[in-house]
Amino acid sequence: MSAAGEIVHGRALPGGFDEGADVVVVGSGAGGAVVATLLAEAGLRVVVLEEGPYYRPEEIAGFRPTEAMRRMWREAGLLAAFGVGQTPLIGVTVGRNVGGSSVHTGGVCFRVPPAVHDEWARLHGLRELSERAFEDAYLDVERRLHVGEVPAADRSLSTKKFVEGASKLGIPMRPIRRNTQGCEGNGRCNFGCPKGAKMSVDLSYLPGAVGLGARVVSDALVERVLVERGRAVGVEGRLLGGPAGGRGARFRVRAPTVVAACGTLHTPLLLHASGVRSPHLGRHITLHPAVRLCALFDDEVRGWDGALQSVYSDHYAGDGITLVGVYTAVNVLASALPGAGPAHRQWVRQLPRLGVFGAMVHDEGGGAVRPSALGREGVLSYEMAARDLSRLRRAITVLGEIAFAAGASKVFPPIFGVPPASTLAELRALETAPLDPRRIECIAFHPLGSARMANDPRRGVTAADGSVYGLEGLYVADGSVLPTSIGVNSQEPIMAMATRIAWGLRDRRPRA
Amino acid sequence: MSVGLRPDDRDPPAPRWPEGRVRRARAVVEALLADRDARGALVAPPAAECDRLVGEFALWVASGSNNVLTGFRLFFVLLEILPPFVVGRLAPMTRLSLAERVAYFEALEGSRLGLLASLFVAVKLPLCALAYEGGDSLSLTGFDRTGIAVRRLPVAGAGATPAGGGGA
Repeated sequence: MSAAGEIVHGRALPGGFDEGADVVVVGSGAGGAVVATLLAEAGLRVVVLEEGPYYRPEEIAGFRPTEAMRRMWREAGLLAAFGVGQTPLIGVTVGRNVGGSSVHTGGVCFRVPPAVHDEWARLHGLRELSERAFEDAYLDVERRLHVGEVPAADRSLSTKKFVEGASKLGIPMRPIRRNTQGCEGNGRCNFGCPKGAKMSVDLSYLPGAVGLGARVVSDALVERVLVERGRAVGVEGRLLGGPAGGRGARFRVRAPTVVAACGTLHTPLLLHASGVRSPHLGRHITLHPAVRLCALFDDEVRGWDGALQSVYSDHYAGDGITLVGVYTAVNVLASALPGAGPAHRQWVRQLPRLGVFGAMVHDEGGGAVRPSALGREGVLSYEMAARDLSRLRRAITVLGEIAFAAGASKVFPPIFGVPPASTLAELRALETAPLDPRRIECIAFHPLGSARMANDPRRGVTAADGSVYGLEGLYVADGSVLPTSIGVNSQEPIMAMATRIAWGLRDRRPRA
Repeated sequence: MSVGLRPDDRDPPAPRWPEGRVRRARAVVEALLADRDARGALVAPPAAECDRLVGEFALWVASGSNNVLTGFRLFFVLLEILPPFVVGRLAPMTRLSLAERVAYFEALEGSRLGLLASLFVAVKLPLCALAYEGGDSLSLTGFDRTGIAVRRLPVAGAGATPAGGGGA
């Protein structure tokens, strides 16, 4: 394909290719990059096929937010889950590029909460997923990512207001841990770090894999897993893009081990296209629906200066709510302010005085992804549980209470068409007022669970070692295998899960 | 290709939207970004700015799948035909005056029917995100860097790293 030591732009290849490897990994995000790197370190011949494009860190650093979205986010950043029943329309952000969503996270690194590990081990019978069994994997991931607490000095004024308000209400805030080196607080992590300080897997894992001879090819859409005599023997697909933008040449990679790491939204589509059948495939998707609330202060906050995320609170964990200090690029923030024309621009002028507070819900699930008749992207639907809708509305109230305690003069509830609230009473009334849930502005960053692990094929798609029930040689190593919602950011849990799966594969050391 | 876009062969080919969809998108942009001038009159943004935004938006939508393109085709058609049901004006959106369009969009956003509000917001969010990431509109936000992708200004007394070191 090309000389070793560099990531290959698939769209620039003169034609297709047909080659062999020990392992072929589909996807280069938090799951795929980890598996590829660990197996390359073990001496295996690895090929990584990534559907999205490759952009170098210095290119990403110069992208405007909308450029980053249309070039590197799935569905150009315009993806939404269709709400079924009493469910908001939920914007879903997922990466589609070399490095996957790890390039677009706020860098937040949580381990799976002990209670969730316990649920997996005890209630789901997956003893291999206990907290203790994950310890070494967490340590390995954290070492490679340079995970550490965000110092208080890196907090934005917006976050300081969040902490101040929470403190007045007796809500403890803790420092978040992130995977950054030399963060200078540019406040736009989701659209690429201008400093290159975020240790996304394109910086922290893949260079090591490529240096050891792994081939990473971008713009390579895998269409199906090759199956012979009931076992996976490789993959085939086609290259995307190219100067003419047309259909690209076909490729095939033969390998005795195939690892699907396309993420929660695409792994089930690939498995389905490859003949895997399970009533659980593509279902049970959890999203961690999230809301953010803007608060207007008398003084300038200029929340864009400081770490994007630096504190959280699990004070409401019992209610399924995690509070997080957040911000976003100013243009994205401006777009979410209420009104049109002069009324909207009046609020945009107040942006330096706006703080932003966030919360996400540890949801029951209710999402499903299905093939679309219109093309290769699936259709994502989500039916929010009544309990989770109540949690979402409760979270809005809590965020507003914190904002008022911090001295905000107005808060902007994330409900379309609702004017800013000037009093606690106005805000609290909203929580119980009759409301079409589709008016709630809701976003999600952590789709999980569409090929969930279970100790029995009647209850899930994959076994605890990542193998797909019913198709030998095929493994899954991404967020789709997580058995339940985890209630925290999913980057590190996915990477730790992928580490476990890779170690298992390494110890079996398949050879072509 | 529109002003402000950096040519890149990893982008899809520049799309050519039909005239009707361009006219509708332009009408939405004008109303979204309308403002009062010094005399208090409602004015639309400059034509060149509207053209730039519509061009960039078309490229953005083209970067998604057919699901996305189909969705936005539908959204613009619905925005065009809904004024009689939302503000009681028997005219398509593109025939409304600038003030009427602003009022129409505010009524959509404030609708008790979440689907109507979502319809408007689905178009408002990307168009405003494009508008407020450069030029005069970015200045309006008070953002104090020379561009939206420019690194943070050094903080006096904080040494080489503005925020006093990294997060790790």
